[in-house]
Amino acid sequence: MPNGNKPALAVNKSLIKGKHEEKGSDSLLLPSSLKSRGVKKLNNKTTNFFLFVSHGLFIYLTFVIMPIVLCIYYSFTNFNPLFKGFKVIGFQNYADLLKDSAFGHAIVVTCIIALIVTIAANAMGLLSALLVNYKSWVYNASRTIFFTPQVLSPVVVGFIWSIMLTDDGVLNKLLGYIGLSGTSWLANPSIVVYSIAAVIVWQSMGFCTVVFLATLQSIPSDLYEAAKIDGCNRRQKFRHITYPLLAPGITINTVMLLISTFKVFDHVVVLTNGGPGTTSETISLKIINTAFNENQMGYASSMAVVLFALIGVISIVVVTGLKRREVEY
Amino acid sequence: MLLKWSSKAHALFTVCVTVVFFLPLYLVLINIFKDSKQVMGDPLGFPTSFTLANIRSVLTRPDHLIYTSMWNSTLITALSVCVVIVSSSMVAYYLVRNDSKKSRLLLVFFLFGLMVPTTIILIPVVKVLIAVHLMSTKTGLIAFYMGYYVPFGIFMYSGFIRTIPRELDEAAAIDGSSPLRTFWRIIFPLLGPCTSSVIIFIGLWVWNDFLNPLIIIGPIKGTTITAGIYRVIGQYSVNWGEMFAMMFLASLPIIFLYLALQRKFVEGITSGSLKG
Repeated sequence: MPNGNKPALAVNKSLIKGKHEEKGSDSLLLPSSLKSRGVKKLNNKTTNFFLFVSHGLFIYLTFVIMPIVLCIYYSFTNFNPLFKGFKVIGFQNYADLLKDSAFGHAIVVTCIIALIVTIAANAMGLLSALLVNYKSWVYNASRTIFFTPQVLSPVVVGFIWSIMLTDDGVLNKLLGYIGLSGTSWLANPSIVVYSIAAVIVWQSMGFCTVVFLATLQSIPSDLYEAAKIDGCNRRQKFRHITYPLLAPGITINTVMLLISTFKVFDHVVVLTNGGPGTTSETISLKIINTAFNENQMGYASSMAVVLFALIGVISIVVVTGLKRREVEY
Repeated sequence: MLLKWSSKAHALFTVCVTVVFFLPLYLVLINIFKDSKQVMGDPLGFPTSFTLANIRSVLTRPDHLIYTSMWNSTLITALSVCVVIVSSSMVAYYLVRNDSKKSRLLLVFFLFGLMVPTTIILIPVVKVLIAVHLMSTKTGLIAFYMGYYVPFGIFMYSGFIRTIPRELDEAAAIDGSSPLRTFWRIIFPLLGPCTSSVIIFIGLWVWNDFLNPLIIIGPIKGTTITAGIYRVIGQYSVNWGEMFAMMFLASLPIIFLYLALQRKFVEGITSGSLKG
């Protein structure tokens, strides 16, 4: 029914507002000369919508929107695939979550990893971008190498590093050469989280480098010329020109890194599988374990809802906070 | 004179940093060609006796893991990328060209999907796939990827289509071309740069994805290469040489494509993210 009303409305609007409205009005898949034929337009509009949008919309609704709704629904039930049927138990799962110290620990671990990765990868990405922002084959080669881990699967990266970081692994051998004694990077409960964060930093630094390089190259060179005439030294140039104009790059990196590390799963599974004990268990790992190993899908769904809320809140806060820092020029 | 010296020092410093950064990858490359004794005793040295035994033993596994999972991965990646491109470019075209409040809302509704991590929707997705009898099949996995990555495709294409002049559509329509024909014959060929970014992004994500194939395809009907490595790697816990050979072979297509199309990779990734 709403479709039936639409063409009349659109015609009225364009009559009232005249030519100016045309750009904003509905059916510009048709040239303006055909627009007045209301009936044909209705048919065209629905068929076009069907042809162009329906498949994408259908599959998106089926595999993203409906699952989100189902997930929220499951989070209020005691759904367990091993038992037939399940019933709504209200906020019981959320009440259990509040008391579940393991889940609280998983949130803390995830936040630590996200924080370290975001700050360290941004800082190292910026430093390496400043390092290789020159023209020579040396810097080209460095850029290629910095970016390589980014195209590898987290599983592969995790395995490589698990061999580097085991007790008699390569890192401890190297430390031995220079007279330091290493530790068991993946089995020491007070270090393991930082080891995982370091591996993720190693993998995602190249992304930051590339984004910063693109941002650096978009800064107009006349700003630097003006600064040179005004007698700025290199530090002042960085402080007053480069750094403020890098803001868009920082925004992108921070948002991408935060979102990807908040759902970190692959690295942790391969490096430690949450161990030793549950020391390095992240939210995603906890969700998957609870859902597919312990079969408590209702309870796992409530964790998923919490994770989703966390990601939503954080990305909104970060985007608005960082956007404010960006300058127009 | 001083300037030249400092630029040399800068280059040297860059090389040092790069070497340290490259160390883990060097470890993989060098240990593939060593026998297991030297791998354990001297992991960082050059191979004393060059051997291809590690690669050979991975390639001649009795379960043909490399061949079947490589084929599965290629098939799944190629098909997912294709369906995402077809679907999302059409949706983006319609929504951008019919600029009304409704289609702007619909666009925002689609872009909301960019924020959803797979861990959150995986439990219900399994339920949905069981309901439509697509659980444990490649088709099911591809359908899921399509739904999950269509928002990203729309995000990329909608930005790009805005830069293409509307007069092209109108000229084609006056010549009697239907919207569908106009899109595929005239607009889509102009979207090349955007399409290549989408191919690179989604291709990488799907090829490297681990959790979804592990759970959706399951162990029975073959796996993708990433999930396959994870399954069998336990067998190699003592033989690093073979393990590295396996990981090397699994990443070879991606590494090769990356080195060949490096400029495109970097452009794709920056254009995609800088726009947002």
